Amino acid sequence: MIWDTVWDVFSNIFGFISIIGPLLLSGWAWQGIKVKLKSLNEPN
Amino acid sequence: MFTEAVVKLHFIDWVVFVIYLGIVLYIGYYFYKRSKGFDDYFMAGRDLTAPLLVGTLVSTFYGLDTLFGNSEIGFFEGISAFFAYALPYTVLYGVMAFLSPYFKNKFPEGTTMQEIVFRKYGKTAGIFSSIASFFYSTNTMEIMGLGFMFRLITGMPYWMGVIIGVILITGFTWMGGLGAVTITDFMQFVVMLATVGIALVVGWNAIGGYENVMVGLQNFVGEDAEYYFTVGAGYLTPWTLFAYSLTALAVLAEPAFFQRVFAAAGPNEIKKGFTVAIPMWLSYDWCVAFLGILGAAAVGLAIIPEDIVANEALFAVAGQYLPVGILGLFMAGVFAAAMSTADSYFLVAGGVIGYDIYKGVVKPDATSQETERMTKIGILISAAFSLALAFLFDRIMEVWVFQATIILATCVVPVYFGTFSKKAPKKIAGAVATVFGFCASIIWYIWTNFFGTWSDDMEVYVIKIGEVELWQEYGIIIIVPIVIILYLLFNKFGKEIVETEGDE
Repeated sequence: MIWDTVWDVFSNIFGFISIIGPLLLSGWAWQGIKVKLKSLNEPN
Repeated sequence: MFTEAVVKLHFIDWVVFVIYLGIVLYIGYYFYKRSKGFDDYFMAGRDLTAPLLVGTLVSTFYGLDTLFGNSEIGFFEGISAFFAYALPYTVLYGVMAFLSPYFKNKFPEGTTMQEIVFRKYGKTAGIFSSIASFFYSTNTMEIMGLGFMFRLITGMPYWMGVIIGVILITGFTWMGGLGAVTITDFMQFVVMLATVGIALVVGWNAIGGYENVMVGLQNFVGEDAEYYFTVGAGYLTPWTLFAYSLTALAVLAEPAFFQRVFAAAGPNEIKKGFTVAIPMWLSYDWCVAFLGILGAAAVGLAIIPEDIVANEALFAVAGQYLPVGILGLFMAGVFAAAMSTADSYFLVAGGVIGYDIYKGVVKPDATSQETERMTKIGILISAAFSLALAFLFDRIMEVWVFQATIILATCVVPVYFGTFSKKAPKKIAGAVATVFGFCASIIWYIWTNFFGTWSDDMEVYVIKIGEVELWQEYGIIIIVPIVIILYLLFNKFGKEIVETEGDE
């Protein structure tokens, strides 16, 4: 990993936020998806 | 008919791509079999929680226009792609973070942005705002982008890629509605962001970081490449930056945005959703812009072929640095970027036909099932319309400038005055504002397009009046102030009120 200039630092940081951010949110989202699927399968 | 593919996918990449597509279509079918009527189909049961909102907000507003457009600007102009072109949108998303909970509080049972206009000003204003929203929600940019993407990975002709893309996305949206859209939007959000993040981190470090990027850029441009790392790319003045940013104001009257706000479980979910979404938007913008810069540097260092077209550079960089399997996921991410945007706007356009026009005007006592059926017909009409425009327009930007102008000129004034003014507004004010805004933006578009000249330097249509040069983008700052004046005048002297305060 190269951290020599401000552009290197921000490219690494924003790159990592892009990779890790959505993955961290997945657990939180899964709870919402489970509720959604449960309500979808309830009888009218 | 087929030519050689620019990005060659390995068999494993194709497997990843097809599995991803299969999962998305299955989710659409799953929701189709369980839909319980219009509210379920169009508003996802009104129980969207913060993480699903993050996924659907980020992926809906970042489509192929962002991916191709920003990487292309990064390729030629460097960091201005992030600071000058992308940041104004994120700033406005920040503004909407404050305003959206207020809309949800004020209209807890709201469904569409146009519904606010119907309720505050009656049918004339409502119909014109609905037509403007329909125009705004056509998916021409995404459809054109899909044709381009399928050509890159298979070598198939552009028209064939366009048609395959439309069939896949329309079929999914028609079946699944907003519930399926928000769940697949979340998947698409993960794939889109993670793959551009991986491509940037791997590519930037493999090439040797900023120092080697500059060497590559200098070889690429054959002169000092410092301008790649200045905000205005060495030629953009504050005024031109402002003019380019004008279309970002369309965020204020985004029909898909309002649909998601109204479908949220509550104002707190909206606040939490935005707080998380904004850093995600910023990261995605940065990655895409810097992948464009990386592409230019890679050409300069002879890592990728020098005859590569600017908007193919992103894919060439991905093909160069991403391992087998991840490249397939990256292409799925590109498809996801188009799909998450296109399915959302097809749905909005369907809602205009099914909910605003059919239930709002033609048959107010329509049942939930009838409204859902008309919404689905609306989706098909929008798909056909988008398809026709994809073959009609040569430049993606002219579609976008027209769409931004018509939605801002027609909807922003009545929606915001109607929501935020303390007194009930007058019917005539909304009618005059929407009719004038709608007609003026069409006349402006025809005038600038057919009587103006295309500037290759600035990539805009320009009309000359004496010494004054007017860009097509200026329509927004010319028409909207006139709409505000007309609205205030007619609101002062008008008499009839459609809705009294406390009705909502």
